[in-house]
Amino acid sequence: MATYQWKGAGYGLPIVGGGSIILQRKIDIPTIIAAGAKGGLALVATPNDGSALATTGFGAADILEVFWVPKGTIVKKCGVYVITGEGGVATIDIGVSSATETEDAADANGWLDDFDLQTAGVTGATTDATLTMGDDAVPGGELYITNGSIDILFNTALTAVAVFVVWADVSWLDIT
Amino acid sequence: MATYQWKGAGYGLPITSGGAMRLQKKIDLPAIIAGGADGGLALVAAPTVGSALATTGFTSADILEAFWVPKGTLVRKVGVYVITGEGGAATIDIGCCSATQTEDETADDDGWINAFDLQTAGVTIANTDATLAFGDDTIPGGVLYITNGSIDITFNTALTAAAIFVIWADVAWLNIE
Repeated sequence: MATYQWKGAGYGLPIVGGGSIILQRKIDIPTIIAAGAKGGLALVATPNDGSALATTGFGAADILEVFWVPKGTIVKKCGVYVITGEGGVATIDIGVSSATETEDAADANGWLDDFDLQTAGVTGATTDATLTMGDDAVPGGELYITNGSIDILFNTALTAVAVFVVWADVSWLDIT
Repeated sequence: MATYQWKGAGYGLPITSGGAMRLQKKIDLPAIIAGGADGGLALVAAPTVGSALATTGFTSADILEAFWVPKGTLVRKVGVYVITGEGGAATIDIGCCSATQTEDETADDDGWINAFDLQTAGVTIANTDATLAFGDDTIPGGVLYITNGSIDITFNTALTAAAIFVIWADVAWLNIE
């Protein structure tokens, strides 16, 4: 046996890039609705055409690809903070709707399951033990093996009032 | 009693440096072998002299000091992703082979990863909290290097020569001078 090191190595933190970062996005549904086709949304089939969100807001089973992430992204946790509550039950999931983007299968509620936007001031984040993309199930985080997205799935019709922040704790790995 | 604050304090994140970082290194064994003495490796006894890796690659009990880290480094997790599989069983451990570098002052060559197999492309792993000596349940907050040191790969299988994989470490740095 032999013990190898990198030739000429010195002590330091050899960062190549991809330090941990918190992605965050405020989802202000009334503002999106008010702006119509200029609200910032597009349908996946026509990504360059603005798409107005109905005045009734997101419907049940609607998906918002909230963060587009490149191949090699590792997602450790996701969370939500409600700035303005919906005022009635309005639950969301956060996960991956694609079966091919991550090292595992599609899981619409991999990070967050049935979080309720009803009340301002409420926060939620991925727990380790109970979710399939939590740390106990996928130590180190969920790895995207292709370009992909972190998705919000709206479970409740008429989600039109809430304002909330969604965040994701991510880093990046060069697996090219 | 009294309640003190820092004089002149304001609201902000009092970062003094050393935020969380992800170290990563691609270990491309065919390229290292093909590079000969210029493949990037050296033996610890001769750290500035290039050392060719045999065409048969790493052998059983070989160690690669994958990351050299300074005193004060906190390692919270380590993981691996296989880009090109070895094509046959080829397991590695990841830990710290020195008994003096970390706060535990015990060598643990599989503290973070134990017997991970490089055989198949697309496979990934990171250390679990509960089952490993350097896991989060055992050492909450991460393993602290109390001297300059290294995060080490131990090759358990002879003839590990074809695999290409990425090793990563989730670290931060603490000023313990």
